[in-house]
Amino acid sequence: MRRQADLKSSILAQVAAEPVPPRSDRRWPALGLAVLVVLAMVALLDAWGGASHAAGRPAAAGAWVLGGICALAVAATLSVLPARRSMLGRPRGLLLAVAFGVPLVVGLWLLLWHTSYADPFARVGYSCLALTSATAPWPFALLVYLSRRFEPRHPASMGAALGSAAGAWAALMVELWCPLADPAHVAVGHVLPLVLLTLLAAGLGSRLFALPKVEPRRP
Amino acid sequence: MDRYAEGDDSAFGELYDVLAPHLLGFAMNLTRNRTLAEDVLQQTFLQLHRSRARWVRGARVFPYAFSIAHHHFIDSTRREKHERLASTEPPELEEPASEAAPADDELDGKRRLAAVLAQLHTLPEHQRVAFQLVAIEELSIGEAAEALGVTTGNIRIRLHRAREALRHLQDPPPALAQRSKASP
Repeated sequence: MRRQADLKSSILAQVAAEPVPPRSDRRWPALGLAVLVVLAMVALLDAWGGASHAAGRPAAAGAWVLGGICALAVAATLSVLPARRSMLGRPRGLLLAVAFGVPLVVGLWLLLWHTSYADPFARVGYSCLALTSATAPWPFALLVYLSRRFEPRHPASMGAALGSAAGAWAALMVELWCPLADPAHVAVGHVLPLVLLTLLAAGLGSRLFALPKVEPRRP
Repeated sequence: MDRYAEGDDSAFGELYDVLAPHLLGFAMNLTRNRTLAEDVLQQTFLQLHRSRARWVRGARVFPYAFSIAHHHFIDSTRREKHERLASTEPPELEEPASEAAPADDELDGKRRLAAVLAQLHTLPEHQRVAFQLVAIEELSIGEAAEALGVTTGNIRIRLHRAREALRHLQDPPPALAQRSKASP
């Protein structure tokens, strides 16, 4: 009994020695960050030449491609953000499904439209790779902020899934710009950056979401 | 925890009183070592304290606390394994208080629980933790799934397998029972 009391007082003393501020309202900062992210992504698209670059693609095909990627981005985001009344993220299986699924679905969706129209020109895809890489960190930062909590169980999977969801939003911006659906171009310019982003985000996630180490004191 | 996150410092002591017995029992069953279990308890409460500023309104504290405790158990087990490999010393395990094997056929409730707890350690870790959370700590299937980061279906499967394994251990098949009686 005495040992229990000692343990409690030791823990309470450690807690008192390391003050943490109370919870603050995070809705307005999140909204501000969301506006900043949208502005940054639009500015990047504009810097690359704007949506007029995709003029060679038939309007109907463009609408389908954009609609599909937009639905994927929304679904991926809703799947990876933690439930409203929980401090913990989604089950690992779901996170991994999003992490692996987004690059795969983006690639397959673009290839599906490959036969429906002739590409207006041919490119390897380095510009698309660069635009995706420049655009994705913004939604990733927003998603990390929105899910700003510890993930003791699988931080790397959480990071990978958030990276993949951010990649889906970046893919939407890139599809506004790029009219090409050639398999080699899709692989280099559209799928490869998403895979790289997912891997990078997994590494970041294991640092961002992992529980910080604390040294226990003996009572 | 919500009160603590809102700024009521005294709520942490109350949270400790509610949570500590469950966490300590859970950690004792996992580690079978009082000192390690107390370390797990201490780490869990410090992490809960650190989550104060980002605590989600209305979030359930039990799944979060158990998931942290389980994480620290895995972490300390890995560390211990590395140290043991380096030093080649056998691990020091404390027998749980309820380890006594049942002598009679008619077991009372406490003895039966003791027997289950003793046999719990023969289960694979993922089944044992699921069983502990649901059957001993009385978390719902959803809360246990949340704590372990798996689906509710996965928890149900783990529980079913754990119960089956425990049933077999308590009532071994006749052939196995005869063989064990025959052996000295």
